[in-house]
Amino acid sequence: MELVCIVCPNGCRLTVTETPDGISVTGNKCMRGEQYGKNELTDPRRMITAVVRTTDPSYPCVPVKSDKAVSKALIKKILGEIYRQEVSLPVKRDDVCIDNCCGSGAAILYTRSLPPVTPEQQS
Amino acid sequence: MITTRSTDVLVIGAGAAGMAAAETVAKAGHSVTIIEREESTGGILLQCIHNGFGLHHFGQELTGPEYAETFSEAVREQSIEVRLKTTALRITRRKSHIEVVTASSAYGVTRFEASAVILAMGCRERNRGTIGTAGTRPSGVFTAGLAQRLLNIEGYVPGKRAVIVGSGDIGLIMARRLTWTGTKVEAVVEILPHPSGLTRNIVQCLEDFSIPLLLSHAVTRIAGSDRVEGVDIAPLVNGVADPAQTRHIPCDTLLFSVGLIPENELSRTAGVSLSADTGGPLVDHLLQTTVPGIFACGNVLHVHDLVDYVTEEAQRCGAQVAAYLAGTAETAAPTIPVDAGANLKYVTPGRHVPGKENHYFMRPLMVRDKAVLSVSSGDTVLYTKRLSNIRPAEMLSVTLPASSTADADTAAPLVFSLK
Repeated sequence: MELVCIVCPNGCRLTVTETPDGISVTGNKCMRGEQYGKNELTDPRRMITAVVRTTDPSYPCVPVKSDKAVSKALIKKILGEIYRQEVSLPVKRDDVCIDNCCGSGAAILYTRSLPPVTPEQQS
Repeated sequence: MITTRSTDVLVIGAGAAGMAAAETVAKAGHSVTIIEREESTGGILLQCIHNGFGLHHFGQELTGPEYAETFSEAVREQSIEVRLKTTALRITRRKSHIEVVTASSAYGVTRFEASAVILAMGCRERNRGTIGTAGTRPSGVFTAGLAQRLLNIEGYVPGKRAVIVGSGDIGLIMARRLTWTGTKVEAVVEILPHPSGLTRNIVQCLEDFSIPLLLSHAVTRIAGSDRVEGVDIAPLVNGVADPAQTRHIPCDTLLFSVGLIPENELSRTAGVSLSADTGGPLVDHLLQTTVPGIFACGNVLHVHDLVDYVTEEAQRCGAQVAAYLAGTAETAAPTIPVDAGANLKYVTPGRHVPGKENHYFMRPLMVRDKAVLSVSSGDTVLYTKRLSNIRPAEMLSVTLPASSTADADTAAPLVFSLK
């Protein structure tokens, strides 16, 4: 199978083949590409990014991400869980919004601190 | 009342470019003030909530807000003065300094007097008007970046059934984002025979959701009175939309992702000369514009496809500004012009000091798996480099080593070309 690796912007063109010794991946420039190629055949995974609603009208949404790629089959369920949240501020970047979301093993983390880290600064 | 303030360096724009340049200048011991019209620092990165940023610069994949916040923290640590919700109105080169007039409701009108100014205003989107799309003028027509802001910052879903015009990265990312929000994306319509965005985005934003990518197609009409009701699309035959093959796609939302334009209205007030090829200021080897003391970096200079490149360029610009203030910049060095030759749209910066290393960004005009970049002066080839996966969507980044131009003919331009 011919694939384009989506792990990074390099977009390596992978050739993934099933051999008696397992799955072979060629065309990758790094180990992450090999893992991606194998996963695409067995259990394709994707990173999730979305926004969570807040109770603060000055900052209505806070962005979040999954801390690892999650099984494609679970994405819809995880997004549903993310959209059900309503959080109060402040939140900090990297803090956990939802732990082990929908049993995926992935945590949903905030990707921005709100209120923002750079208030007006006057020297 | 107009207040007057002095600062060594005034940076206009607190996005990726402005913050990295400001940090570099501040670290060299100069006073820096950043002017930002938005309510927080970070620029466009704040609405780019997807991941894929920082692989070159941080060695890891970050989302836009994370990338931005890292630099916001650096700005805070350097105690750089930041004026938010403040607009720069005019830049004027005076004899002893550069004057920048700004306005904000918090501080009123301020006249800044700076020894150097860094332009870092970024770019803005081309839109329906820019590409001249026919039809009615209903609501529901957005640029992709505006829809991204509505969705990711303001928290509004722009519509239920969308068509996206243009296969640039922002449009592709929005196709996935809309799909994940419950909006049906009917198609991405691209006028060129090849996609404009990164291949990985075609895969993870379109193919994952079976969204059709219609290459060599154009939107020929927008229909709807109050709200968009649909669009007519037609394939291009010999470069012209074929009316016989027109079909209608019902939708309530139309996004345009049809390219970006460096935002240089403010640069013009200072008399900075612009390049027709990049849309940004003409700059020399120091990233200095045609007006002494005014420098430029990031998307205001030329549109980058990776923020990592913006950071790298902005840090280089900051270092040159620090050297300029310290009196150690090579302002008087003899330079030769740099030109884009075969298969390149542009090369920037536009001047080179022979025998000195410098870094160049260029935009290819062709799609090739392999190509050779060559730098020549007259008939002499000074430098060659093998490159792979050449496409217009992916900017080329090349460091020209000092030795390659040591004996360059100073009477001839340095020509970069791709074969």
